[in-house]
Amino acid sequence: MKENILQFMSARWKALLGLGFLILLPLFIDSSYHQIILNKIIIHSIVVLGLNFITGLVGQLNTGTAGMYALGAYTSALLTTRLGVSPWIGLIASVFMGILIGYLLGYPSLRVSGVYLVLTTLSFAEVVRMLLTNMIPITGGALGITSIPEFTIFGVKLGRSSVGFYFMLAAILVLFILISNRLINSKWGRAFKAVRDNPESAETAGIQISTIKIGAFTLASVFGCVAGALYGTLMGFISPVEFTTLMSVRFIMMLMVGGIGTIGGSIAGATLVTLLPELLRFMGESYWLFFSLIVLLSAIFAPNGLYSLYTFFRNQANKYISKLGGKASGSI
Amino acid sequence: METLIQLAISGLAMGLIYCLVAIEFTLILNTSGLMNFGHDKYIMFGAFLFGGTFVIRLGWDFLPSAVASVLLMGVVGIFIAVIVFSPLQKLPRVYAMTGTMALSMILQEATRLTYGARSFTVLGFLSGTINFGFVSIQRVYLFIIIVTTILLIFQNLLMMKTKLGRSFRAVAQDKETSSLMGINVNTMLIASATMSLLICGIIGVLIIPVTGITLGMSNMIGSKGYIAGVVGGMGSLNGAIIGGLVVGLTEALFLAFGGNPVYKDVVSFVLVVLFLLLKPDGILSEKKAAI
Repeated sequence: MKENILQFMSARWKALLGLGFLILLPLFIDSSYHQIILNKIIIHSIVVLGLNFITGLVGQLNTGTAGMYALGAYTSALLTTRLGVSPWIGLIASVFMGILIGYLLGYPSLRVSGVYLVLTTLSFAEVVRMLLTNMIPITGGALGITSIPEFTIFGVKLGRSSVGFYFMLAAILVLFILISNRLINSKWGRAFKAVRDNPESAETAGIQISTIKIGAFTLASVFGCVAGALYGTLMGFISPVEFTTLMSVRFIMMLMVGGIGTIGGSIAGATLVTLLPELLRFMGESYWLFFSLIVLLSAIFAPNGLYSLYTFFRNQANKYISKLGGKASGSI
Repeated sequence: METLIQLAISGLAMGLIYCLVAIEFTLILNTSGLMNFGHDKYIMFGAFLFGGTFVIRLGWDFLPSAVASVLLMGVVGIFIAVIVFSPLQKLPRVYAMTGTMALSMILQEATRLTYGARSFTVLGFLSGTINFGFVSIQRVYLFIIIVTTILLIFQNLLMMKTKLGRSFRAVAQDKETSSLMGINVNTMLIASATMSLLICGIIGVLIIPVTGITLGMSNMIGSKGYIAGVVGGMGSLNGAIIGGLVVGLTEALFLAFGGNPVYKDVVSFVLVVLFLLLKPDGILSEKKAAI
C-alpha cells in the first residue's frame, strides 16, 4: 500500500476542513479585540491573495498596495459618508476603482518589459497618500474620514466586532479564494506562470505578455481595493497617515513569509504577520527589526517561506511512511 | 525675476541630488542586476550618522564629521555587499528585491532604535543665504550644486579614464565575457556597493538642511531618483545625470508657472508615466532596458 496520509486527504476534504474551521472559529473568541484582529487577518488575506497574482504568479513586484488599499477605502468611505449610499454600493464602487487603477497604472508600466511596475507603483502610492492628505475639502486631509457606516443585511446592522460581520467577511474571503483557485488552475493561471518562468517561450506559444501582466495587476488592484473598502468599514475611521510604503512592504512580506505563488501560503502569511505583533509583544520596540531579519534570511535561504517548510515536512513524512510500508511488507 | 532665479537654482540643486540618487542605484544595478530597494534608507542612515552620531553625540566639527560619516558608509557598503548582495544576486528577481527591501527595513528599524523616532536637525549647518546683490540664494543649494558637480566630474573621470572604470563598464555590458577577460565580477560588486553607499552618505549629509533628519526624510528623494533613472534611460550613468536634471528642472518650471508647491511631486509622477507611454527607453538608452 503506497498511499500516504496527506494524499489521502484530497483537496475537497482540505477545503471542507478549512470551511469548518472558519465557521467554528468565533466560538473560541471571547473579546471584541480578538474578533477585530481576526477580521483584520481576513482582510489582509484578501489583499495578499490579490498580490499573489501579480507578484507570486507573474513575478512583478508591486510596491503600491497601500495606494490601492487607500483608494478603495476612500472610494467606499466617501460615497457612504458624503452621498449617504449603502456600504454595499460602496463595496461595488471600490471594485470599479480597482479596475480603473489596474488599467491606468498597469498599461504604462507593464506594456514594456523591465522592472518599471515597481518604480511606478512606489511613486503611485506616495502620490495617492499626498493627494489624500492635501485635498482637504474632499478627503478631510490628515484628519481622515470618521463614522463610516456599518453594513446592514435585511435591516440588521452588522456591528464592527459582531459575529455577523465576521461571517460576512469570511464569506467574501471564501468567494475570493474560490475565484483565485479557479483562476490559478485555468488557462489564465498557467499563462501567468509561463510569463514568469520564460517570457520568450510564452510569447512563442501565442500568449500576449503585456495583456497577461495587466490582467494580473488589475486582479491585484481589485482585491486590494475591495479589502480597503472592508477595512474602512471595519475601523469606522480612515486617515492617510496609515497608508505608507511600510504598509505595502508589509503585504509583500506576508506573501514572502507564507510562500509565494500559492493560496494556502498567502493566507498563512497574512495570518502570521498580522498575529505576530500580538504574540511577540515582549520584544516591544525591536519587533520589526527581528521580523525584517527573518524575512531577509528566509528570502536568501528558504525563498518559499512557510510553504517550503510544509513541503519539506510532507516529503519527510512521505519518505518515513514509505519506509515503514516497505518494512511492513518485507517482514510479512 | 528674483524668484525665478531662486526657483531655477533650487530646481538645479534638487535635480543634481536626483542625479546622484539615480547614479547610486544604477551602479549596483549594472554590476549585479539587483534593483536596490533600500537606497533611500541608506541616505537616511547617512544623515543620521552625520547629524546624530558625529555632530550631536561626539560634538565634532561639520567637515570632519561629514568625512567620517561618508567613509563609515563606505565600510557599511562593503559589509552589505559581502553579506547580503552577493547571495541575493543569484536569486530570482522577486526574492532579490524583497531581500533588499527587508534590508532597508532592518536599517530603518536599527536607526529608529538607536536614535529614537523623533526628528531633529543640525543647527547652523549650511543655513542662511548668500546675497549676490540682485538676488539672494540659500547657501545649501549653492553648496549642493558645487559639491555634486565636482562629484559628477570625478565620477565621470573614474568611469572613463581608469582601469576600474573600464572594468565597471565591461561588467555592466556583459558579466560572463568580462569574467573571461580576467575581471573579478564579485570584486566589482563590492566596489560598486561601496561607491554607491559613499554617494548615499554624501547625499544624506547634503540634504539635511532641506529636509531635516527624520526617518522618512528620503522617501520622496528615493522615488524621484527612480523616476530620474527611467526618464534618463535605465542602466545608463549619463542618462541618470540627464534624467535627474530633467526631473529637477520640470519641478522648478511647474512652480515657476504658479503651480501649487504641494503638487510638485505629482508632476514628476506624471512625467514618468508619460515617458513610459511615449519613450520607455528614456532619453539616453545605452542598452535595451530589459533588466
